[in-house]
Amino acid sequence: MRSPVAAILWENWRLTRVETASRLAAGLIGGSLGLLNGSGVLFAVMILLSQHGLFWLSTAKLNGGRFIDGYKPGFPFHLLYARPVGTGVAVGTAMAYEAASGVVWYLLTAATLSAAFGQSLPLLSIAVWIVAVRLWLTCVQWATHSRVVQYVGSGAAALFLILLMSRADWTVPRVDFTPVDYGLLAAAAVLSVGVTVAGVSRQRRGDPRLMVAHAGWLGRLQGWLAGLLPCPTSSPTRAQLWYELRSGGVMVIVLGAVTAMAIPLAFAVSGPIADLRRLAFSLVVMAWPGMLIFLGGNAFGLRRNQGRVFASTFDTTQPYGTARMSWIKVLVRSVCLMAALVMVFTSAWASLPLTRGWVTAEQWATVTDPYFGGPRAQAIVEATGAEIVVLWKAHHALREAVFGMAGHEKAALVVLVMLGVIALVSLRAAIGALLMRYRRRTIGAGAIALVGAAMLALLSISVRRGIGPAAIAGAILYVVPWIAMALAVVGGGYVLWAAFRERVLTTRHIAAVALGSIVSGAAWLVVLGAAGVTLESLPATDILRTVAPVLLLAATGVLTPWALSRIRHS
Amino acid sequence: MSRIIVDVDGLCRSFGGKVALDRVDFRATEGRVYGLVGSNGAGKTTLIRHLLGLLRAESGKVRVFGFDPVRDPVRVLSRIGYLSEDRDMPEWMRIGELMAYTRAFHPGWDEAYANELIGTFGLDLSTRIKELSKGTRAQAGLVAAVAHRPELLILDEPSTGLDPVVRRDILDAIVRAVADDGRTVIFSSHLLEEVERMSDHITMIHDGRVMLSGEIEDVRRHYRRSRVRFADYFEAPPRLDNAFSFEGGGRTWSVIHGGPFDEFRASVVSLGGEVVDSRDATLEEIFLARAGRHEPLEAA
Repeated sequence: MRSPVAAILWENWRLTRVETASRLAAGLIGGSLGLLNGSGVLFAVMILLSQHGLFWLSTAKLNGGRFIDGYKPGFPFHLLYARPVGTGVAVGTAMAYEAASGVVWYLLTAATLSAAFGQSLPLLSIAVWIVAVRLWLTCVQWATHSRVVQYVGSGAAALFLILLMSRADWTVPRVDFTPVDYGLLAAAAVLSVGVTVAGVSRQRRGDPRLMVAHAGWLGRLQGWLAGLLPCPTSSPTRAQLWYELRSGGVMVIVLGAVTAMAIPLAFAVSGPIADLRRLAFSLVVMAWPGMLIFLGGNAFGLRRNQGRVFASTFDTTQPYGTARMSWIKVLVRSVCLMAALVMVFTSAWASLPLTRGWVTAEQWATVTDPYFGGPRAQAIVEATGAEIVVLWKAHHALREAVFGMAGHEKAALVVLVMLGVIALVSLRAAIGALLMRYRRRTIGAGAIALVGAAMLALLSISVRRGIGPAAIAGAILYVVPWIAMALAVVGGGYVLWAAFRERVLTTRHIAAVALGSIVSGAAWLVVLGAAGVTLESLPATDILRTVAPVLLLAATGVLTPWALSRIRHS
Repeated sequence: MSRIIVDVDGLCRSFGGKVALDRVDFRATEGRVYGLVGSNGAGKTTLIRHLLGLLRAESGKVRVFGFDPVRDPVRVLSRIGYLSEDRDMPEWMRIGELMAYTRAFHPGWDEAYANELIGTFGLDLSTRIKELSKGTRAQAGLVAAVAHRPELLILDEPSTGLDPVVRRDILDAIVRAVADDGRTVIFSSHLLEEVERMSDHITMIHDGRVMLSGEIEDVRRHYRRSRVRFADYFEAPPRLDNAFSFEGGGRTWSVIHGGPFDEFRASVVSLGGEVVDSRDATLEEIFLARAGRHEPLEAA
């Protein structure tokens, strides 16, 4: 390395190159599907933004992890970062890489897609937005040691930038911000750099907050709260439940509660201001995927340190069975996530009447349209900017669908949603563990599955458009899912056999998994029946496809303990 | 005959292309202290991680209390107290919570003993782990490791980076575990003087192989440091029977050697030299002779 700047840039590249490759691939495949399928430029841009704008985690890698993953907030001085360069250079270079890489990867993918499909994609305006997003999020991670400030800052960043995006002129393929909004984006970027340099300088000189950690009222409050939930010593299972709750579960519930409280507040203060209404709408809409993505992952509590992922020795040396440990970890995270989702849902549902006055009579007429997001409603929303109508339509549709159900059908739906969340959390935990243990093989298998699925989708689109020999394409489309299913069965059989052989699972465990699968199967059939689908009316192949989701719970019930055992005994 | 607590037979393990353990044999019996020594990356921690079931044996056998720690982790870990090299503990926990949590897994938790140790170390139960210094963190980890009076205490580099006071606390705990309860202790260390003082048995690992294993007195008796003088001038170390390392040059050399002393003296005399003086080698001298970078090893 010829200079510290080159060394810092190299370090960032080394940390992010695998993620960069995967995001470039996902962006190209997702964008191609969007442009081919007629979803249009907007869909493709959204895919690219999700890959290169939001959810970028390189700084988090440098920082030792993500939120609620046991990361260390603030600049990573603990990672031998006491380098003989000015704070401005250390921070500025990394932030410049962060911003520039996002822009470069976006422009590269967008230009490739434009050339391949002959459709222009917006470039410079989106690039400016990406720079502001990246710099703000880096600022939130590095400028402070306070997790509370980080959470609030991240939320504020997301809402502010989504607001600006929603105010933009989306005359595809152009997306233009107003001069004022360009100014705001530039100000946010400059301010982020300034605040980060100032905050890191303070940390470098010895952040007084660290020196008096938990000595003040906050420490006393935390001590009091901890006293409310003492660790039970009567059994290992209770202690393990407490451990999972305290190490991540409580934080998930708290974040759900804060979001739930923010929703009526946002509705209440929005009033006549259109921008604030958009913000409130964004808060409600983004809360769901945000919580599922950020709070539903890493139930095994894997840690990251400069790109290395590892399991805690403290966790893995506890004298507790692997299968039970994995299920407790997944169950606690799932239940906490469900609680958070229920709080947000209840809050949004109960707060929606606060917005009734925002909806005009003409807009209101669209609420009861049978088609959610129908063209008429869409036209009105676009004309008036009244996104809140979409929420009312969802409210109406849900009311119609659920309130008409019988008691047992509602219960089945609740059970199904709960088991769905458990399966999701479980699957993500297992994939995380396998990525840690068999990184290359897992990435390889994932890439093959992704590319295979993309090829099938492209083939399906081409058949619909009449491109190529339909008979051959049809045969491929028929055979490949069966091959995939056979591979899944063989893989599942191997995992089950390995889990038995290694004594990770016993017959009692398998009985528990089978019971859960039977319950989910029964709930699934009841819900299908409520939706008017009966298996008798379906051909055999469709029956298999219809009941396949039920097998997910059984598969994760076996896969998750096995995956934990592979990292516990590596 | 004492009960066998740990039985490792022909254990092999590699990471990528690097061999970390190569046909390692190791046995530990009840009521004794076993010291593992070796240079950085020699394989000590890898061996300990196999005993805890954190690594699977690629080939060979690992049994602790007669069980495979990978297949029966609960049976094995419930009888072990472990202090890891990096003192890995949840940062958010308070010391009191750490004790309560650990207690839940160990029905044999000795509350009086834990409180005594907490009092001796001056630990504040309301302090969070992340606020602890390195030494205090080691003390907290030690209490959690020994308060359930484990049958086997495993300490991975327990003294590294600690001040003399905390180091003494840890060594006292080892002594007490053995003296009071007759438990087995396995500890790895770079501090050879500490190993020499505390251990009944020593196992020296180098490049993944057990280079030396035996009762500490036997090991010391087996190796000697002798000063030899020759009539002729030697540019390179002379070829002497059972010699492991040389210091000095020309006519006078200090040699670390093993085997019968008479054989060594005979080989010196055969080259026209004499043994000026000889004494038992220290563990550090033996370690440097066997594991250090000594070109004379090839020459000898």
